[in-house]
This record gives sequence, C-alpha cells and structure tokens, in this order.
Amino acid sequence: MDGTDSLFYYYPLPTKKPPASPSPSQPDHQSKTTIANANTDTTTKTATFNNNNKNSIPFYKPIEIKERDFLCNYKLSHKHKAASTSSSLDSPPGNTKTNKKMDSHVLLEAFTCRDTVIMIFRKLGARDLARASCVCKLWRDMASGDEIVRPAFMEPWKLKEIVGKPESGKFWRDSGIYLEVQKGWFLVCGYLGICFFLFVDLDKVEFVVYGMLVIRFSSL
Amino acid sequence: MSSSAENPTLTAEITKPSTEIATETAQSAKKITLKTSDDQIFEVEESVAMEFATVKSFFEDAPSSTDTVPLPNVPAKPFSQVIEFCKEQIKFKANPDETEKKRSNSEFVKEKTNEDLVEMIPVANYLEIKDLLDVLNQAVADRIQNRSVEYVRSFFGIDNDFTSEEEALLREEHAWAFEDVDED
Repeated sequence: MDGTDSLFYYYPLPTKKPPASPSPSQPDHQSKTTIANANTDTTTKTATFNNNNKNSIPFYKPIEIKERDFLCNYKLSHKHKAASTSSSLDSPPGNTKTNKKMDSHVLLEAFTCRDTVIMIFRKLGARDLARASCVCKLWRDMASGDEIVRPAFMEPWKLKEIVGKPESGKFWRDSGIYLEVQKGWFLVCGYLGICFFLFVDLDKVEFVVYGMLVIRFSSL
Repeated sequence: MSSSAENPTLTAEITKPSTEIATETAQSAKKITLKTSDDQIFEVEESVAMEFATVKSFFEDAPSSTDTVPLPNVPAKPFSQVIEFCKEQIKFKANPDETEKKRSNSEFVKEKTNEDLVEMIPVANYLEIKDLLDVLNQAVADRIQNRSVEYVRSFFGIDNDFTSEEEALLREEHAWAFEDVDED
C-alpha cells in the first residue's frame, strides 16, 4: 500500500467555477408582461449570487487538524507561535459552517496523522521502531504493525521474504541476530534454499523457536 | 462575480474577501496569490506554485481563475520555508545535477530547527510536494535515530498517554532496543 497516495485522495479537489449567470429569461417570457419579466430577473440573480457565495468558501473542506490527532498530541500552541502575531482578519464565511461538520472528518484526520507518521517510520530501523512504539499509544499501534516492521527488519539483511509470524516482538532485534550469530547461539537448518532459523537460548538451556519463522535469502 | 456586483446589498456581506482578491490579482499577472490559514497573503511565482500539486490541480480545473487560493491547513511560517525549498528545486529542474541537488537539500534541512521540520511535514503533505516530504522525513528520521523515547516525545511534542505499568511492560518487551541509546 502507498500511504501518501491514499492520503491525497481524501482532499476533495477544487470544484470548477459555476458557469456565468444564466440568461435572465427565456424567449417565451419576453412576450409576457414586463412585471413578470422583472420578477424572474431578480430571482435568477439571487440564485446565482448564492452560488457565488458558496464558491467563495475555500474549495477544500477545511480539515482542521485537531490537537490530539496530529502526530498524536502534537501541540498546536507550539505549532502556531507565528500565527499569534498575524493580523486578525474576519474568518472566512465558510469556517463556521464547516466546523459543524467536524465530526465526519475525525476519522479522516486520524488517517492523515497516521500517514504522516508512517512515512517517517518507513525510514527507521527495527531498533528505532521498537523504541518509537514506547512513545505513545498511537505510535505503538503503528510502529508494531507488520507492514512497517518487516521491511525495516529485512532491509539491512537484504532478505527477500519472511514467511510466518513471530511469536514475540523480540524477533525483530536485527542486531540481536548478528550477535547471536557471533556467539553461535542459533542454528540454521537449510533445505532447498530455505533456511530455518532456530534460536537457542543457552542460558535457559531450552530451544526458543520464534514462531517457526522462515527466512529466505534473496541470493539463495 | 458579475451578478453580485450588480446587487449592492448582498455584496456588502462579502466585501472583504472579494476586494482583497481584486487588488491582489490586479498587481501581478504571472503571480499566484495564496492565503494561509492565519490570513497571510503570499504572492508566489507561477512556476513555484506549480510545484504544489494541490495548487496545480486547482488551476488545471480552472485555468483562468484569478482568485486567491486559500490554504486552510497551512500556517505562514512553515509555508515560507516550503516556498524557499521549492525555489531551490526549480533551479535544478532546468539543469539536473543530482549531487548538487542532494547537497542543497541536506543544507536546507541542516539549518532548520527540529520544530521547523516538524511543522513543515504536514504542510508538504497537504501541498503534495513529494520531494520535500521525502527530504523532511529522512531528516526527521536521522534526527530521532538512536535517541531516547523522551527525546522523541519532546521532538514531536507528544504527550505520554501510557500508564506507568503499560510503559514498563512495553519497555521490558523492547529492552533490546534500549541498549546503547545516545545521550540526549
């Protein structure tokens, strides 16, 4: 999946301007009395005006990033230090209307927040992700997701594929595997290009098989 | 707008935005006027504004539009830095030089404070500037790499919403990740 693309989808694209005010009256009407003609004229005008007024509302539904949703609890006060000095123009007419619609955007905001953070997580290694998951609840849920952790683990090892699901998050300690290789603490059973990594914890004198996880090297 | 001009009582209600638009666009032919969430007006060259995919798609839909483009999710301070970045990027569009571009990008993020970077990410995200997003995310990732949980929290201004038991449990589970963490 591509987080960034899915995010962009949620911002409604600007709408085209409504066509120029429609012709005030039909040819048929012109044959009727001038009073009737004037009446239709004014009604069409107000109608088009309303249209224009709607159009002056910002063309994106202003999705106001709520305090707790942005980067999870990102403080707005800290964010808008510069804003406090700005001139206080009247808020655009659209704002009060869209604030009422906020509820429907709450989910959406959560998504935007998630996408922003996940883009950063994609650049982190397994160790950093493990620590990131201790930052807050939202980060824990995201940083321990398979689609984030697996690539982070596979990248330094140039792994092609990881089959199965580890029993514990401890599996993802990338440096851990390296250390265990050095200490000879784990066994590799290779068969037909498939390696079974069996972790052996000699301290406890027992076999710890991390969920029968199968790792296939791209070079094999 | 023509119909509203003919009707003085109704135009009175929206005078502010409409006159603003009129004066701003009259001055500049090739410039695009953008309005940030804190009502700051930015006049940006068309080539720079076209770097913002969000703004670009607006003008693709309405090519002849001369209105001020409102950017309701964009505060002025990070936006001015985003413009700075895009101006640099345009130079490289004319004569692509990857190493020079990388150097300029790394210089751009180097002189930014942590706060600047964190503020710019949602702006770049909203304006859909993929190059900038990539640069920013990488810079942020580099800065929080091998740092303590407390440092990361203060970096993003995140509150700890774990109970002390929950956090202790998590830290125990990820104890392997807390070895040799850099000092703050």
